[in-house]
Amino acid sequence: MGIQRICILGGGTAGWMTAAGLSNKFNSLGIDITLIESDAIGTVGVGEATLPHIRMFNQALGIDEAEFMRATRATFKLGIEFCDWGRLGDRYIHPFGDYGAPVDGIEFHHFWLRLLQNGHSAALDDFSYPVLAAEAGKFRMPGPDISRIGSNFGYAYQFDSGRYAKYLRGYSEARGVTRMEGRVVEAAREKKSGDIASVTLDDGRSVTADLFIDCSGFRGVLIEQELQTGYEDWSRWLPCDRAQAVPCEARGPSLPYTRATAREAGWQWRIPLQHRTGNGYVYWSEYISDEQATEQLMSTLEGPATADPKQLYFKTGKRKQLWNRNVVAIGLSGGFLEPLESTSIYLIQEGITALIELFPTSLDMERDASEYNRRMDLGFDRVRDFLLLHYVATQREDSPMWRYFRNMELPDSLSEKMEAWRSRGYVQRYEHGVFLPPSWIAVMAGQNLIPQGRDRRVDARPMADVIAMTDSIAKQSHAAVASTPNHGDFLKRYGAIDPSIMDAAE
Amino acid sequence: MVPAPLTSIAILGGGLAGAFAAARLARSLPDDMTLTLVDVPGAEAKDLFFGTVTTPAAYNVMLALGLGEPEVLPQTDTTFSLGTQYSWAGREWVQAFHQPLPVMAGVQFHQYAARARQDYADFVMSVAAARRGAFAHPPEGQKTPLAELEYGYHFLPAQWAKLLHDALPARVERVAGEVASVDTEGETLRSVKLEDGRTIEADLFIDAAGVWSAPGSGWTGGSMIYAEESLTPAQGPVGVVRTLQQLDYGWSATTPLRTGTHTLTASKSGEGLKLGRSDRAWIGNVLSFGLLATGADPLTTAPMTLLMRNVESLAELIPFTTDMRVEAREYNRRHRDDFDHAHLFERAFGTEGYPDRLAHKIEQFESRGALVQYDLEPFEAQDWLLLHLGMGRIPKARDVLADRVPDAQLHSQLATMRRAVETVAAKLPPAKVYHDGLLRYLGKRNA
Repeated sequence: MGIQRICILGGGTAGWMTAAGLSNKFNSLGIDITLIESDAIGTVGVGEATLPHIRMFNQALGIDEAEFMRATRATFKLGIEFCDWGRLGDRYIHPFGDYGAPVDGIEFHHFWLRLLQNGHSAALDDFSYPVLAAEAGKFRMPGPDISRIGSNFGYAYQFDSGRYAKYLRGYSEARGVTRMEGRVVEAAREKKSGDIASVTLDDGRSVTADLFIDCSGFRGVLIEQELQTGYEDWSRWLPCDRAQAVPCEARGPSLPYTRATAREAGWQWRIPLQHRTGNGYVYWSEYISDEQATEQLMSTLEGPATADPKQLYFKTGKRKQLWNRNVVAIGLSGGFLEPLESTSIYLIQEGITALIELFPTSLDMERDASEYNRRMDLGFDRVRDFLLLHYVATQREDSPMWRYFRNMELPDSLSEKMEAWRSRGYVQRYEHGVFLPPSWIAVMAGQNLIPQGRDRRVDARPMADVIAMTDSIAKQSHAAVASTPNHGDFLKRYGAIDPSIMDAAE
Repeated sequence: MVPAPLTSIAILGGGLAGAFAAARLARSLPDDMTLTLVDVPGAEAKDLFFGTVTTPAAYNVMLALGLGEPEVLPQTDTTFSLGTQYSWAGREWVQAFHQPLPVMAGVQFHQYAARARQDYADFVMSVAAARRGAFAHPPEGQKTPLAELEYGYHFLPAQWAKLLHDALPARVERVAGEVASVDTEGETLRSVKLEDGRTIEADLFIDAAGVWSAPGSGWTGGSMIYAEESLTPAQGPVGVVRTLQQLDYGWSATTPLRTGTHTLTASKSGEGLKLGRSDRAWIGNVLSFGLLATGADPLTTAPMTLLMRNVESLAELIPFTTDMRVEAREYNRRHRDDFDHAHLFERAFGTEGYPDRLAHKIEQFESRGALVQYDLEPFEAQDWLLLHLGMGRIPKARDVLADRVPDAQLHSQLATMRRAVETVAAKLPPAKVYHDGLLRYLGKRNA
């Protein structure tokens, strides 16, 4: 017999995304889903910026984009702006899209490198429509023909994750998910197997299930407190261990990108929503006190704060097994990687997608767990390396934290990647993992790692051809941006603005 | 000290691997670089181990070298291939070439076929055509099951080597002769001296003739394979698949070519090749290339697939300077990964003693029909699916989500799909008729 009952612990972004994803697929199969959440436990708004993958998640749920954007007060996102990462005063945008397009199988950036290495001035950004559009505060949807400059990009959203959870709650409840108010105080185990049999709430009610999804946040009520799965500590590589988050009033037009500014002991995010701006400071407590962090954060807000800063504690890493026995940890209970590249919601989504694909066919789920863990471990590892890249591909050494990274011994996988790039602009490819070569190129080039060599095949073409070809792509990119509407106008025209915000503005 | 720029490459070897490398580099290198191909007699002796089947990838690879079907088909005995018909482990199946797995409502199609207790292979256009010995080119951009036909080629390595040689651009300097001695220093091969006294110097040597490799390359694998080949004239092509039969020891494969039938028998006698792969094919300025660095069993299409992958890795990693450590490391990583992944596929023709990563794939398939794919595998999901099913691996359970489609709807949908494939297959001409017609057309056009 297969899974009949699923119990989800926790109702934050992770919990309700899981409930929505599972109820959409399994409701018609008569599988019963219960979600337990307590209004007394605060949820952590894990990153309000997303990756383009979120669109597939929403599409699979059949969600109307404009309606979802109104409900979550979302803006469009073309990438992330990184300030002060390579050197103080530097900035670049990591876009959701390629630079140019490959020519005869040769990645475009090698043509750019040839220009650069022959004394021509050429900005990589000129070959990226999403970078140029973001810089201009503009947005439109990519067209259907992805071979066209101006269409080979992706986009994501910046939204209020609390509202997203609420929106998905409505979606899930409409598809048969039962919500129970309460706090889990105890878990009972199967005598024979040692699996979780049921959980008991503070009011004495208990919930029996075949499969438990632990979305209880950092505490990991089942995965850790009950099953003692263990945690792989990655703070050696990503040592930031605290954060403070605070919303403030927005100033200026809403921008179609997120910003991450490097600081002496961490970095600060800025996420523009329709109605406000989300801010946060991720830092390493060894080098800055909470009070100093608050002061830095509050003094750099663009408008008055609309709430008190919220303090968060964490340790980067991941659970040794994300799926252990009949418990799957999704969200912070599974692991934490700082939201520098907006991967928190992405990793939740990956967890849900893998769970659906490997949904147990019987109560013996050990094999399903082994493949799930293999896949998710790889995903986490690759995100970790990519995040670490931001800290080590830098010339900064103006504070103890930056000097720490300068002297760090890197994982081999990362140091080989960086060396291959520096020596010849070569980017190692992989198939399974979120960040494709253009992302690696954006960060490495953006943080002043300029290759000495290039793919030799580009030299088989006359220089004049290369100049003409690159000029043409740059012109097309700029022309495409010129005919792109302002982000704010597009949001309005698209019907994405929450009417209550429109009223307030008028 | 700034390392000197790389200005010259020499390829040692006269066989298919050397020819492919020369053809590819000739079209990739800037004009100011020199490229020399040294035909070392006997370098082609082991080329029968490339087998006689290429995957569909060969189409683009050859086209990029200026050798499209209008050149390849009339000038060689090459025919179209829809895969291999295996008689293996007491079972029979057509191992067609990979097509992306169809997905319906978020579930892979084979899960529905399993639920309806139908044979997945019946829905694969290439298999249906192969069973009838029929062929036609898949039309582009049309909505017909025929557009899903995936084909490769039956070919003779010696003929393709000659074709590639003859088409080499004038920039390639060609030399022939036995190697008399080598001048080395540490991991560097300075020059190769031929028996007629000529000396070949180069910054980088691509060694497809086993001339020299620096000590310490290491080897993974070790068993030997022995094979013999023969060609029987025939009014071919008489089929559209290679047929391969397991023997008490080894196997024997019959390949339909344009003017004859080729037989390759891997058993206890004949030419020998060490199976396995070099751990570090590229050391110093010498890249050990071809069958001597990459010994895959021609039981599958792996030998040609790996050759094409290695050529691609090389083209992408042509060094910039004489300091080529980064290039060597990256090439070696790709070479190892590609070989090891292909090797898993070959090992899956066995029934026991699976290495861990293969055991995981088989376990996942047998438990629930899940197809685990590692990074950038040369054999893709449907290749694995056809092999598992061919070997009689039956999933114990299926994807729960496949049950969401009501029975009646599923059965009528599957019946429609099966009929569409059968209808198209029934209308296809026999492979020989199609091939002859195509050659007549090409002949007229060229005349």
